[in-house]
Order: sequence, then structure tokens, then C-alpha cells
Amino acid sequence: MSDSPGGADSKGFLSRVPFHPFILPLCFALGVFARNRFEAEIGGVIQVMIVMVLAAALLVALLRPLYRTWRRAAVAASAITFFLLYEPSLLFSLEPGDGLSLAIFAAATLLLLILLLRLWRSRTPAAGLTLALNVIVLVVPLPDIWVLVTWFAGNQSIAATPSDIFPDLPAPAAAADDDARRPDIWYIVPDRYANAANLSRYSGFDNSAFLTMLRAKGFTIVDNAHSNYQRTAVSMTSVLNLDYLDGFSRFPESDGRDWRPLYRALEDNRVSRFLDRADYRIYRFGSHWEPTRYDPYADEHRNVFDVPEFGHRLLTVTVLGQLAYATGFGAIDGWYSHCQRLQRQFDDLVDLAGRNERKYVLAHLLVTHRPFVMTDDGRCLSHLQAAARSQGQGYVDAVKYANERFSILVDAILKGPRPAIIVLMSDEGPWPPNVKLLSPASFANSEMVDWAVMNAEQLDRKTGILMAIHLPPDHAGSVSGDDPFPQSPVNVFRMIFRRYFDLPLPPLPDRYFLYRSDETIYDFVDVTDRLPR
Amino acid sequence: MIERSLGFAVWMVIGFFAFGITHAQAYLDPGTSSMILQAVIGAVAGALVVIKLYWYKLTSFFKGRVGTKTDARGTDKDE
Repeated sequence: MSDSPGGADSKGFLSRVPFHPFILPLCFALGVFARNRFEAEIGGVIQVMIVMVLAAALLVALLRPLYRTWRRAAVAASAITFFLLYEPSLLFSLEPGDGLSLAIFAAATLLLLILLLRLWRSRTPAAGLTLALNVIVLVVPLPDIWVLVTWFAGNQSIAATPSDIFPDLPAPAAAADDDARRPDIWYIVPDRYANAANLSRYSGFDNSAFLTMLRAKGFTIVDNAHSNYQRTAVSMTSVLNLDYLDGFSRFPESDGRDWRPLYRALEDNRVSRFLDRADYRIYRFGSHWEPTRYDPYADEHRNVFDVPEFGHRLLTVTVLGQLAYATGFGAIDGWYSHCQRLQRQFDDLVDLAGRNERKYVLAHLLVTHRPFVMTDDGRCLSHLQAAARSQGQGYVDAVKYANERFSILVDAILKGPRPAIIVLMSDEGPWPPNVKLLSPASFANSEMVDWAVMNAEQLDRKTGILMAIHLPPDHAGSVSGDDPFPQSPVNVFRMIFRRYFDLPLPPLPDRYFLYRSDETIYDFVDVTDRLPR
Repeated sequence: MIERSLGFAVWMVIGFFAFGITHAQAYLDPGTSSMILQAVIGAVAGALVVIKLYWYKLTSFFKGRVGTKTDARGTDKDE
């Protein structure tokens, strides 16, 4: 390892102070943040950055005795950091059983070790290396910083809070002692669970036995139900705020690519706000997806490997994440944590059903959502095992597994100590095949769908959902016969709050909408007439 | 023709890298294209610094004065 002999002025700040190991991870985080500026909140990004800088400082401190000078230790730390963070993106991601990816990874690892060894054996003062690396880390993030600064400077949507868009519901009446008037509320969301007609037509699966069982236990099934919007973020935001999303149109200056106001209205929603004030204990069963992972009003979150999505995303694209993916090690890799999360959450839900406390449970379960990581009896599959099964079969197996676990859960809730409303309702249907994609104007979104040209069959498949609701028998019997039962998701919590909390929330007309594209997510088109009735 | 072939090759390389990480169970973009851009910028910046550091040797080489000067400015201490 030779250092520059010609021009590194060791008295200059850039060649004297080795700050590059601390800036390098920030470059990496800024790069990912710039690509995800439409979805990631800056607060979460800063938290991750702080952790990365602290980790870099620890690495430098650990290497200092080995490399004898701070500058050499810093160079070694930057080499290790560069390898850990950038290798999978710049070379090749590891794939289980793929010899080429393994060979490339091994060669990169060997190169790093040779470099570290040469640096360890050298007597270089590393002034030139320090100068070069400091300059590099100062220059490298400039395009990402420019992208972020110009976007944040021009984006006005941050000012719109969830309460601006969806004002609070009226305050609940004083807590009643009559539990039948204030039953538990279970909102179970099996993501992409299709309605019976679509399961039969497109997946060749007859779901009538499960639905018959639910009816026998007092559920009302809305046949041929459809979500009011086409994807989770818009669909669940509508359900949990008891309204259509027209409220966003009051902020026309919003960037149509900016998902964050929508995500904030999903996190900080009317249902949670209201039930928190009504003295409900709130449980959240989320996934890796940030908008339903965390509820600011929740008393307890039940999750597995519960870290912010941005940090998790960074981890998955590092060498550590790649090794976890290739070896199936632990929860770092999304695949295995996905399976473990579902198993644990179904067990926890059953356990929760036995608790005698007034509670509101929201479980957003990615059980019928890719990746299909388990068998129909709930055993976790490896990547290779899952790859041997078709996606269609994986989906059917997921539905079978979900049905089995929902049967157990419903029994547990109904046998539990509390009267309960159970809303078993998916948020969207599975993706139909042959969806037309727009030219990727933004690399950031891999699902840049041209929603405007979807045909009736594709719309039906993407929005056809399971919708089953159980009301406590005592109360359901007392309801006036002319109070309409909801036929689409937007009216579900309106019905619950109208019947059980006496709120003046008349049902809304059942309408169905699409946002036109991922570039214009607040521009909705009414597709009610294009869906089968 | 050469330009088109070169353009095609560049896009093939970018595509190869950009879709290198596709399996993670996440909605957020892995930022691969940013990483590639950063690597290119870093390589250019690093090369410029190296040229600056070795400028004297380079010019000496072309002037036939290789090895006539021993640099002592890099032998500093930072302990």
C-alpha cells in the first residue's frame, strides 16, 4: 500500500483529518433516501443515519490498535464499510444455489481482505489516501443532495396534517359500563385475499366451505365485494378515516408522487384517534410496511423484527442482508421474517382473544400477499422450495392457511370473555396478469401501472375482496331493520360507530375509484360503472 | 451504428446492475441506480485526486526527470 508521494499536503485539513468513514454511510443512506423521497419520512432516515455514524465510529475505534494510526484505521474502516454497503448494489446480489453470484461475492471479499492486509503491513502515513477518500465522500452525495433539496424546497404537501384532511370525529360519550354497547373491535386485513367469485374463476379454488363456516358463526358475507380503491395505502386510508379520499383534493399543490400525506393519514387515522379517546386498548399487528407497522395511538405493537422500513430496506441491500437472504439466517432477510411474523401473529391474536379488556385490534396480515413463504399447513419454505411451486399454487396455499388460522381465531374470539365485532376484510385483490406498465418515468417505483387502461376483468381482480363482518348477537338483534349493512369497505366503520357509538354517520354511496398512476396518486377516477355488479 | 451499439451496451450494463437486487420483500426502492451513479462520481473524483497527487511525477516523467526528486511531504505523523 503506497501513499501519494507528490502532492498530499499532510498539513491540510482534508489530508489530515480522516472524516470519510463517517460520511460514507451517509452517502449510502442519502442515495437510498433520494430514490424513496416520495415515501420515506426524513425523521426515520435521520435516525438510521445516526445509527450508521455511530457504527462507523465504533469500527474505526476497533481498528485503531490494529492499524496503529487513526488515518490508516479510517482507511480500513472505509474499505470495510464500502464493501458492506455497496458490494451487492455494484456487483451482484447473492442468490441461493447460484454459483456465479457466490463466485463474484467471494472474489470481492478476497479483494477486500488483500487490501486490508496490505494496509496493515504498510507503513504509509495514509495522507494521500485520506485526502482522496475525504474528497470522494464530499463529492459523491452531491447529486442526491441536490435532488432532495430541490424536491423538498418545491414540495408543499408537508403542511397537510391528517387532522387537516380528516377532522376528528365527535367526542365519544362517557364510557358506558354496558359492554354490549362497547364491544371489542377486531379489524383483520388479509392483504390481497380475493372474493369467492374471483377465487373460483381465476384461482380454481372453491372457498364456499370457509364462507359457510363463517355464516354459521354469525358472519354476514358481502358477496362480490370490492375495495373502494385499488391498493392498500388508498384503500385502508379510506376505511380507517370513514370517507373517500376527496379531502386530498383540497391541497392541489401536493406533488402527485408524494405518498407521505397518504401514509400519515393511514397511520394517524380517525378510527384510532376516536377509539383511543373512548378508552379502548389498541393493539397493532403490522408488517414490514411502514404505514401499518406503527400506530401512534397503539398501546402495544405485535410484530417480528419490528424496525422502521427505511432501516430494514437499507439492511437488505447490504452484504449482511444478502448473506441473510442467501443463508436463510434470521430475521434480517424479509423472506424468513415474513413467515415467522405470520406464525407468531396468528398465535398472538388467539392469545389476545382471551383477554378481558376493552380492545381494538388491527391486524394487517400479509398472509395472502407475495412472497408466498409457507405451505398450506403453515410450515416455512426455503426460497428454493417456494420456487418449485407456481405463484398460483402459492396463493391458493396461502388462502388455505389463512382460512385455517382465521377459523381458529374466530372461535377463540367468540368463546372469549368479551362481545366482539369482527371485520374480516381484505384491502385489495391480487394483481391480475398482463398489467400494462408505464414507462418508468421514475425508477423508484417498480409497479408503475397504467391504471387508466385496465379492462373490466383486471379491475374486478384487483379490487375483488373478502368482506365478512360479525356483530355481537345481542346488539345486532336490536338494530333497526332499516339501518343498511355496509356493501363496501368505506361504510364499515361508519356502521360500527353509528350503531355502537351513536355517531351521526350516515352511509355513503358505494363508489369505487382508481388513482390514475403512481405519478398522480391524488387524481382519482370513478370506475364504479366498470365493475361487475 | 457504433453510437447505437455503445448506447445499447451502456443500457445493458445499467439494467444488469439496476435489477441486481430484486428479491427483497420491500416496497422501497433499493437505490441501486443511485449507488451506481455514486460509484462513477467517486471514481472520477478519486482519479482527479490521484492525478493531482502524482502530477509532479507525471510531468517529471515527460520531462525525463523521473526519480530526481524525493518527496518528503507525505511522511507526516498523525498519531
